[in-house]
Amino acid sequence: MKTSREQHLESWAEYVMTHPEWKLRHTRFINALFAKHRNIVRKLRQQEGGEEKMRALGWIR
Amino acid sequence: MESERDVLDVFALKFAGITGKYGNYIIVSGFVAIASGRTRGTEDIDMIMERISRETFRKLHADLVKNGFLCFQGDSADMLYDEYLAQNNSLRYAEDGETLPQMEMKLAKDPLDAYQLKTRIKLKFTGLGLWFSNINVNIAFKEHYLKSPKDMEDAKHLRIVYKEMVSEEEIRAVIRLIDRYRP
Repeated sequence: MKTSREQHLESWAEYVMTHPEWKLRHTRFINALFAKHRNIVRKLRQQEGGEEKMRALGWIR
Repeated sequence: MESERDVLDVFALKFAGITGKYGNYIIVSGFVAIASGRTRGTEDIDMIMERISRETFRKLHADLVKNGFLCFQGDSADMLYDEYLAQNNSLRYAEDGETLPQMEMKLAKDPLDAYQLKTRIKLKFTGLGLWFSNINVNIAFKEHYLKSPKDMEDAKHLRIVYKEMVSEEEIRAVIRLIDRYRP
């Protein structure tokens, strides 16, 4: 029996193949991830030791 | 009108637009699946470039810097080439002032990479004019070499979305190359 995760993956892949509007939904999802990341970066920059944490994460040089 | 290009698309197109002037490249691994609709995040995009000379890399690096990219490993093109690329280590670039996304770039190092470059493909479905390693190579790497749950899900997504391109024969041939060159 397929897990719910497998069912989800398959139904999303089928959606992508059959619905041209997948790209816009997908773009909103990806951009939301990076918007969240930028918020975290902003908070870390204001935090004592935040730059060090970002360096450890490989986010800054 | 809302743009269909996301943060990763814009970054990859800008970087590859510069890189492509200096040699053949391919985008491999996670971004192939994400650009094809997989709903997951990534911090970096992986690029393999044909084995360019130090002189060509100097020009490429200067062009990237001129266009606002910063290399995390340093500024000296000669050092970056000798200590990283020539040793088959990767470099990471981001847009100056940004943390993510990053481009992880390395040079082709063996016949397996040469095969990937030779069989590179533009995937119309992505809507991006980028060169990708072909679908069967990606599936073989993800199912046979990388094997993490994330990679197995990427492979499953690629198998469904590009089912007309999937060749079990080519996947088996790539697996033989992986076993030989990446034991």
